[in-house]
Amino acid sequence: MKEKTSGRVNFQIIEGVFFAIIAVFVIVVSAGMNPYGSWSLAPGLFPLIMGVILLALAISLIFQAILSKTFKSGGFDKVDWIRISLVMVLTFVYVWLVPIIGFIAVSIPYLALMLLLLGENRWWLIGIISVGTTLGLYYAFGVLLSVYLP
Amino acid sequence: MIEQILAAIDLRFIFLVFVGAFAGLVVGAMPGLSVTMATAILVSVTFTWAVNDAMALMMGVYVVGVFSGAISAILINIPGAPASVATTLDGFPMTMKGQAKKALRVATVYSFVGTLFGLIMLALLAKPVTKIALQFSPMDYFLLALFGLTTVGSLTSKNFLKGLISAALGVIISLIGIDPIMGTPRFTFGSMRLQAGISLIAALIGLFGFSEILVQIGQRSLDPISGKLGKEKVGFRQLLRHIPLSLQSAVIGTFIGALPGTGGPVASLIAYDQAKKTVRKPEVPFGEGAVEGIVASESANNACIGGALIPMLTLAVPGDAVTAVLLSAMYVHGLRPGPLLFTQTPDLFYVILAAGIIGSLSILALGIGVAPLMARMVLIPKKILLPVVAILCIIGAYAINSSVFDVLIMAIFGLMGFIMRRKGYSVAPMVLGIVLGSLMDANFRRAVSLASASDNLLISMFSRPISLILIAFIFISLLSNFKFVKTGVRKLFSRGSDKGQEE
Repeated sequence: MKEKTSGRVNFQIIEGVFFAIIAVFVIVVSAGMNPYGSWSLAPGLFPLIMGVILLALAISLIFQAILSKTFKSGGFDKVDWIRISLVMVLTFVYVWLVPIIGFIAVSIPYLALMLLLLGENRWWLIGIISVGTTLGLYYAFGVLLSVYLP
Repeated sequence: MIEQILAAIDLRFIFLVFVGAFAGLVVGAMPGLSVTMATAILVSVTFTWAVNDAMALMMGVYVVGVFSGAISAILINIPGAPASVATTLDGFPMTMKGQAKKALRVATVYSFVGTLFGLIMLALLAKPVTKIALQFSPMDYFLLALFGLTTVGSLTSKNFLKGLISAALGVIISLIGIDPIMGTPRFTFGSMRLQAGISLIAALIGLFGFSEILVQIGQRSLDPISGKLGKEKVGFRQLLRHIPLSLQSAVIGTFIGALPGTGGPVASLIAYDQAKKTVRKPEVPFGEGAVEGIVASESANNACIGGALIPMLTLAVPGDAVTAVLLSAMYVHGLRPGPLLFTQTPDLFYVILAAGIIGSLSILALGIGVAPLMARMVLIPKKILLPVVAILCIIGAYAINSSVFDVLIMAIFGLMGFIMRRKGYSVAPMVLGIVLGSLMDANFRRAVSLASASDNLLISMFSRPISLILIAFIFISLLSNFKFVKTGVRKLFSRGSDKGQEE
């Protein structure tokens, strides 16, 4: 199979199928957005066209992958997924907690944990950066620019 | 005219423009804080002031705020505003190569050139440009936005198809929320929060800023230092070399700025695309740290200032969000912008020009004096800089609407941007799609609705001269992304030059 390179499936085909599913979903949802009978001003007209265009592009992507002889993602491969997952979990927990316990109380541990995660192990520096940055941003946004912070 | 401009200037006036300029530098460079927000705050602060003082302060914020979006775009790959998206494409690679200072200097000089060009055009061509802009029909606006989308070829260096998919997804994302024409919710699935749509700034911060953090964090071993400042000096001659490209981009910027609702992002991306097509031998390839990319983007988005002021002053139609706020400030001060401005308060036109010119000089002063100090942030070790930038992304996304939901959107777009970049999908076309999507949707449906009354729908929609010109541009732009067209054109030109040499 041409798409297999170094034992890996050509992911571009999977990407194409994924985008095709999104396109079909957009087409189905927007086809139902015509509450006034006429398509000229219907809210679903433009999304429907975009869905069809995305479907055509997704199919082209699949064909491009089948016809291409070499596998090239154009991106990058080596990723520390554990660190990425931890950062995302931390950020989602931050978003969940900030309205409950407030900006300062969440931002200080968030910054401290991020610093630890990236390999900073000097406790005094972690303390200074997490507290200093949080208070500095609180002053700049909350006090000087009058942005409401929870 | 020069006498009238000089008459508006005194020490107090210069001081106020400079204070505004400094505020613009801070606000513009901070992702999430927009120049629009800053000028809106200033309207409430300055409504008791004299008109000239208020305009001086607000023009200072406006002019320098547009420029300073480039600072964070160059240094940390987060555009301070959507208009600086194209600047990240070559600005950040320059920082990674240790040329941050050079990139900032180029952005400074050509932001100044672009602003000045736009203001000169405002002074000379206000009326004719307005006449052309007024002839644009909804279909023309749609085609102009479509032309903007076709520039994705320039934003995706490896796979044009992936760029188009990214742009199409961006357009679809922009359609989430309440439909602007009929008021019907689309793709909200019952969520009240989605009814306001996806915040462009939150998506922008996520796709560029947070995804960059994830890319850096995802590397198995972090480089100790974020970047190098570089000691490469940019000579005066070297800077002047790009003046023709700058003027070409400034013309694009001024004209697109004069079209209401389009503005900086479209102008800078089209100018970038044109630069990529017209500059035959850039110093390094576009997308890898080409100075020409920064020249085109910054000249165009700053020239938009003069362009956006043209319909605002002559027709009372704002060219972009900031000029809409400036317009409201004028009404607050009892002024009447539009055709009556030149008869009732002609001095105001020169006050705005004077403030703009001093503002553009402030770009030079602050860009050369303060921006290099800001550039020192690239010397901070990554393990310290990245968490600080992460919290800046969070608070930047939050500050737009004081909404935690926008932070969530930012984080989701950050993850999406990271996966896209990993798979070779450029995130810039998606931003372009989000910017242009609603403009395309509303104008396309208006055009269809207007044409549906006529006998022949297609002729009615596409027969106007402006529409035909734009369609031609779209085809040329699309075709120029295909290899066989590129090689064909190259062969044609090389044959032509060979014949010329033989003769």
